[in-house]
Amino acid sequence: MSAPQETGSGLFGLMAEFETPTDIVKAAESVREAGYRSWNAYTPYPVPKLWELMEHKSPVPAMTFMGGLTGAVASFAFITWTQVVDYPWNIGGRPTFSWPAWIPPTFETTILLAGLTAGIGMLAINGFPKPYHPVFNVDAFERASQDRYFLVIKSDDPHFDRTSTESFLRELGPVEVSEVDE
Amino acid sequence: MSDSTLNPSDYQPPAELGRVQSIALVVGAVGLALSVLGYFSDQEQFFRSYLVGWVYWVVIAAGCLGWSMVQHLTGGTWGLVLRRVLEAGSRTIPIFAILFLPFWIGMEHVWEWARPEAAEDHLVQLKAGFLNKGFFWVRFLIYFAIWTGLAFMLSSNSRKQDETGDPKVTVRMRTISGPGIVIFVLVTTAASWDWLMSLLPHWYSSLYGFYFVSSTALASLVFLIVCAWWLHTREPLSGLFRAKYFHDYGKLTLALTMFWAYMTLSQFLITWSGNVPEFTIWYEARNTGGWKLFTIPLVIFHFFVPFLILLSAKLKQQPSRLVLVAFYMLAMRWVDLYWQAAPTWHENLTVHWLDFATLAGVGGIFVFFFIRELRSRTIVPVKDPYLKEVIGHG
Repeated sequence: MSAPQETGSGLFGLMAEFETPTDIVKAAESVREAGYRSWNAYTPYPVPKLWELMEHKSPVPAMTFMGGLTGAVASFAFITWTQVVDYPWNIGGRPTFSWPAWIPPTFETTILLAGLTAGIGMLAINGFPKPYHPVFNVDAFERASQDRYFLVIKSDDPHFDRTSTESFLRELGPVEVSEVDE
Repeated sequence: MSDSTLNPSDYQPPAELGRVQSIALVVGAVGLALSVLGYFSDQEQFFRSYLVGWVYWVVIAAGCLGWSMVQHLTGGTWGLVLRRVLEAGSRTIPIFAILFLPFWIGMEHVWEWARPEAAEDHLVQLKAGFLNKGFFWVRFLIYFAIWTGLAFMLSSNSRKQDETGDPKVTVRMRTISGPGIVIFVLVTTAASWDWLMSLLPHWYSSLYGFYFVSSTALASLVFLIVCAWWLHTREPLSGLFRAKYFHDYGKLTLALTMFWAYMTLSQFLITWSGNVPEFTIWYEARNTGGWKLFTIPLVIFHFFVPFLILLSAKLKQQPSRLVLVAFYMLAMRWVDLYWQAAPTWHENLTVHWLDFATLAGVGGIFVFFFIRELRSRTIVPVKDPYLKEVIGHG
């Protein structure tokens, strides 16, 4: 280890640092083939192939859809209740169930709830706000937002082994492999 | 693969286009022959059906012009690989001017204000300064002069770039497209008043033009998806189209499906809220005499069904599935167009065989000339400075 950090209590995982997006994509393919499932990648900008390799399945789209549906149904039902059941009112001689007028608020509520669910859901599923994350314990990780590409295999992966995983990562041609403390 | 000059001989249009072109010619010829037969059996019906068939295809050709200007301005690679398709579509616009000529002798069968009885209609008389045969044809010429002018200016510049590779041409095309898109939308809006809205000269709606333009964008977009799907399964473009592009086309289709619904609903809602006879007559005709059979399904099958289907990201990335939605939307575009036009002429729900004969006739001729344009040049603008991005991403 180039930067051994003995102070931490546990091991979060092992971090490999790469110089180019091509290198990290190649490495990620090997990591997947080797059977690892609990790993993550950190890059300065989105690399679509990595996302595919992680088989990242996000529940956010489904949640957003349910949020929108809830908004539509709730809004339409609520207006129906106020206008037809609770306080029927003659407006310009129109029938009490005048649904065309209810489309704009229904539409707005659909968008509102879908948008809020997408935003809040994304934050919740990512575990944000997150003031502490172990990867920042590695000094070199600063460059993850500049020009370096990092891949972390987490210690909770069933295939994870302190020594064999390290030698595996070294074979993938990284600039550096570092321990990530909890 | 990152050198700036591609070899034009590697990007020749697929040979199978020739076969599609001959099929289109046969379909067009048979359709037009049947239409001519129909003209002799029922003149009135012929002109009415012919208008719907003609408008259906002319907005696709005009939409190609609109999209090509959008692409010049926004510069996305999703549209760059389709530029030749867009140009071929827009170069067929003059054909539609010729195809419109039959109306020279049959206007009074279609437009109420063109009949002699209109002289006794007070309201139509008040509008006669605009709605008269002479000015109608002058406007027709202006619309086609502007559409054709823009289409040929852009495509001839693009052709020049194929030879010289001059990057200044890209800037010039962008400069034309800026004001061009504004003029295009204004012209298309005005065209919608003439061809469709004036079918019912007593009616008022300030949203109709926008509704028409949004339909134009949608109809031509789904036509482009069909072209993109066809091209991506064949050499030489099979390597250039990415799932990402189809994802983009799908997203645009979703957006325009929603925009179409937004426009139709806005027009309806304003009319419904105002509840004034000059506005409501149009909807009354479409909710009586069996026309509800079109009205209600339009809401479900032109909005809810494609909207829910197109929410799926996976579907949008699969060309073979997205193209099914595109074909479906092409069919729905006809339903919407027919619903806008026909209830004015027929109190009760009517669909005539001539509606389909004219649709096939004009469509076949359009596709024939469209492919002829497509085959006359390389299938991508080989010397466009941005094409490197498309190839380089491989």
